[in-house]
Amino acid sequence: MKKLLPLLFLFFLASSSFALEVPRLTSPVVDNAGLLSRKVKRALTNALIQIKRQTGNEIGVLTIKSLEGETIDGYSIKVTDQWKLGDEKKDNGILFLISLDDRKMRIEVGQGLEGVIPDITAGRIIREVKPYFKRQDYQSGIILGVSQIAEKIGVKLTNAPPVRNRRSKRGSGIFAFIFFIIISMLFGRRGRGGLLSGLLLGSMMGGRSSGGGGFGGGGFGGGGGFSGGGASGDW
Amino acid sequence: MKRLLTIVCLVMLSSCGMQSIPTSLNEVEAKWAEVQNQYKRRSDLIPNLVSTVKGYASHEKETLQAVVEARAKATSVNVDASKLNSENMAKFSKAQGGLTSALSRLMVVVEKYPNLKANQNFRDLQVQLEGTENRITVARNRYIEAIKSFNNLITVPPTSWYNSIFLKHEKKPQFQVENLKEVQDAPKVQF
Repeated sequence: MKKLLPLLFLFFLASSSFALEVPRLTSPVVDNAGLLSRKVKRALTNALIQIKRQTGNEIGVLTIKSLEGETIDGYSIKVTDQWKLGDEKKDNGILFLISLDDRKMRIEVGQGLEGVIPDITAGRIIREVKPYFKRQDYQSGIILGVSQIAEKIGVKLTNAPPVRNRRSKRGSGIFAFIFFIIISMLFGRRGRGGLLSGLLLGSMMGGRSSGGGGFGGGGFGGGGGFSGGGASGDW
Repeated sequence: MKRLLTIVCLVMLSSCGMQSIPTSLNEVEAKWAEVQNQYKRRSDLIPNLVSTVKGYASHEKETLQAVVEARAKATSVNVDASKLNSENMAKFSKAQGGLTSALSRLMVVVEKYPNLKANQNFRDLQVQLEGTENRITVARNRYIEAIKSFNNLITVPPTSWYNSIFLKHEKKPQFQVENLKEVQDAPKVQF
């Protein structure tokens, strides 16, 4: 018991000093920095749920205000250790993490997808996203990043990057783009059954706010393992 | 009555470390293998890196030579999981630490060559190197965790009693960072 007390004390100390907590996985898109409009968030959520239904791969997006002194790599692995995106056996999860105030981002790739998205590819995606973040068009940047990841894991895309025009702010281009993610999967997959119901379900889940316990967002977080693959960058 | 006794025995055995200690030991071995695996991954990257840098910065011979030598030294030190003791561990982390610092020196030198930094191949290599450093960190942290729980099992009762009577395992060394200062400024990558 005597040994236990200091241990307990240490535990409390530790839990309070490592302040930056990992948010709960309430949806595939956890936008704590508030970078996405409600519409885009919902569309993105639906797209991610669709991608999971189609390919089994789980892509999660997390935006936070600040890392509060932690490194982006360290925090990212902490998040993936808790969220466990991907299947337990296939380890096919990906996390796209953005910290607004630190101007840092990271794509953390699950062990099972390191072959499909090696660090080089993740690094290139980050380099492509960077210009959008630089001009504070976070929404387009995030969509571009996610769609590039989706493309690499086999969801065909038929559209070019969302906002070509620098002046056009959050234009219809974005919505067209998300629309295209879903469309291309509808046709790209040679008409699998139950897609319509899948879409409906997806939109229902996307619309639901994070009530109750357990996982929202279509059962994300299946036990996937991460070992530090991916790439980081700043803008 | 006999059945009850067996159940009681089983319960006692299951909490005494008969299962948990070997399981934990396997865990340690697996995590150690992962650590070595990631270090190997790093040294596999180096020939490519060196030859790319050579093409642009040929008069940085000394720095490049230092990397090559440190790599040779690092690859020559391999520690089997069953021979994990503090001496071997120190040797291992010293060799790898040497490579880490040689690499970070190289990355500093590279800053002087804008053409090299703009080279696509080099940028990819940098990303890979950074990714590998990160994987090493993750693998090391997980090894540290595994060692911690193993050491807890063999030192904290009641499992420690079973260990001291039957298994007689010794505490495994924690990961030491020999040249902490040098390791702390691991190669940085700027996009």
